[in-house]
Amino acid sequence: MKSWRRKGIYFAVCLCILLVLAICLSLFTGSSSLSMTQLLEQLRTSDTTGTAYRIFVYVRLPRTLAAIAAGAALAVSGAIIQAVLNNSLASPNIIGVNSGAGFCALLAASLFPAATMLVPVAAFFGALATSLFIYALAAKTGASRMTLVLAGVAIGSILSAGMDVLMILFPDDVIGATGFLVGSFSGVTMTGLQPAAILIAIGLVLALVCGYDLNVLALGEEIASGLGMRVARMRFVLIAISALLAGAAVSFAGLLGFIGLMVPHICRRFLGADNRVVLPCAMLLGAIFALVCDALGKFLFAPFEIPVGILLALLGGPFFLFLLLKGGRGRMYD
Amino acid sequence: MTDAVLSLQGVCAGYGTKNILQSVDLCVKENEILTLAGPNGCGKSTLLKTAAGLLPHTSGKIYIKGKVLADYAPKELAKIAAILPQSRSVPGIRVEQLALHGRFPYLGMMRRPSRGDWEKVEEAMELAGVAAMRDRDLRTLSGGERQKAYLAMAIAQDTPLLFLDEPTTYLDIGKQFEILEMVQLLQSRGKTIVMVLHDLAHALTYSTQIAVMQQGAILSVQPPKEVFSSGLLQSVFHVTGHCTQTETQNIYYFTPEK
Repeated sequence: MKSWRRKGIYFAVCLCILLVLAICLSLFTGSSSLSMTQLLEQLRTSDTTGTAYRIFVYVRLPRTLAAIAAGAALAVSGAIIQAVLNNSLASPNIIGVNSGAGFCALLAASLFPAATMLVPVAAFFGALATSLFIYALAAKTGASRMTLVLAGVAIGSILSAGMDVLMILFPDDVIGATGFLVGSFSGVTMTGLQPAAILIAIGLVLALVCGYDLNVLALGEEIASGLGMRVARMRFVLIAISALLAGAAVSFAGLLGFIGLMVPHICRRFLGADNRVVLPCAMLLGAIFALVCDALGKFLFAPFEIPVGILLALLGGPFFLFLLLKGGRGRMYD
Repeated sequence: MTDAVLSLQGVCAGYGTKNILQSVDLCVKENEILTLAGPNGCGKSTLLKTAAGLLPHTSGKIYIKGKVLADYAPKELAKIAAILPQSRSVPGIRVEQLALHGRFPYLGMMRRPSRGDWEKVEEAMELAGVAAMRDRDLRTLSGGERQKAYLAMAIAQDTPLLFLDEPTTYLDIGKQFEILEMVQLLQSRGKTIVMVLHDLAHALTYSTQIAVMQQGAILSVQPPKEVFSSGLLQSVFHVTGHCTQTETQNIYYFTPEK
């Protein structure tokens, strides 16, 4: 077997093992201790009133699934947006996509508090609108990669201000306000997670299907067109998938940052730029990353819990600075 | 005109509202190597991109293999004409993967290459001389090797018509000859090639026809010998042309205008 293929398989197998370990870590760590024997007994006897059962089913399981879904979605969303914009500094939080999703999610939750299904859909449209705006800015003005990042900062600031206004106007309706702004998996319920998880599952399948086309697009607009690709349509589809993933993740996890920046970089560092390999690996690594950071947040300063968004910012900020200082112009491809 | 692979009639095209090409007429016959020659900014690359369908034309008609360009679906066109533009990304993929991208127009919904696709890729890599470096990352290759890898992709596309925009730019003289000889080899295998070259001596040596351009218009389309003796190249580029005849070929070179 060729070395590059073997490397990809080893990497994927390692990620699968790590994912299982991370799931266990997430399921069995938390502020209250969970006795395995008690839990197994209550699961076996379907004792739905038992404490272990209730903690597991209503707290740990939704939180673990939320971390998996959000981590995978944001990592794949970041990998797509970086490839489409040919900008290694781009990620859903950096270019303001998360803020767009967050603003629309908060708006929907404020205006229609009873319609929980509406929140991820609104977040998707917010993310899509922001992504398309950023893309149009890049395409029409020929803005440099750094300008795009700065434009993202500006858009993020405007939308953050909008979110603050919503929180002042609708203090009771806004979904877990502080946790939402920082990004957190605590308080996620199965019912709240369900609609977003469906959208994420659809988005991930579509993203994996588009891996090859993303590779062709990476050759540049003219070559991709010359190979028979409808470039504008494909770009729109990819941006929409990226927005769907980021929007759905933000709708329940809040403004989680940096997974979409760091994870694709790590995958490309080890596996090269083939998106047929990078996307599935980013999906796995994103989930692991979110699970581990969430678990760390639970016991690092126990009994206090640090929201996962804070840990991600602590890791992601220096990572972003490293990318800036590395000296490259932020291009994915020369 | 029945053997015309590419035909342009009164084509105007450009960027935004600015027309670069001014009513261009051109006919490229099967199995020709037609080189577009002209000073910087005269519209050579614009013509190449317009003829390949990458740039829309504002007026006139373009026919490829007798069919109006606009009537081709993108993938159908990509099975007839391949283009290697001047500016290209260099993603961190292997040479073999790049060559495989040439089969994109032939892949189905699942994008799974067939055995036939792999055979075409293998053949293209052999022809382009990159089979030995199939597992190398594109970013680690020299300019010449990278150019050959991209040519392998274009060859794998398996089209009767090939557009090459400055295929020898930035390459050392040895690599330039390698690329140009590869172009001749492709012609000997039945392909029609339309390319842009800046080196007039190379254009005169390796082409069967030369289209001389100036300010968005084609001044003449002639075989190399005729275009050289007409003095058109000299007057357009403001240079003095020289030709030394050996037993096997004419050797051309140019010096500053006196």
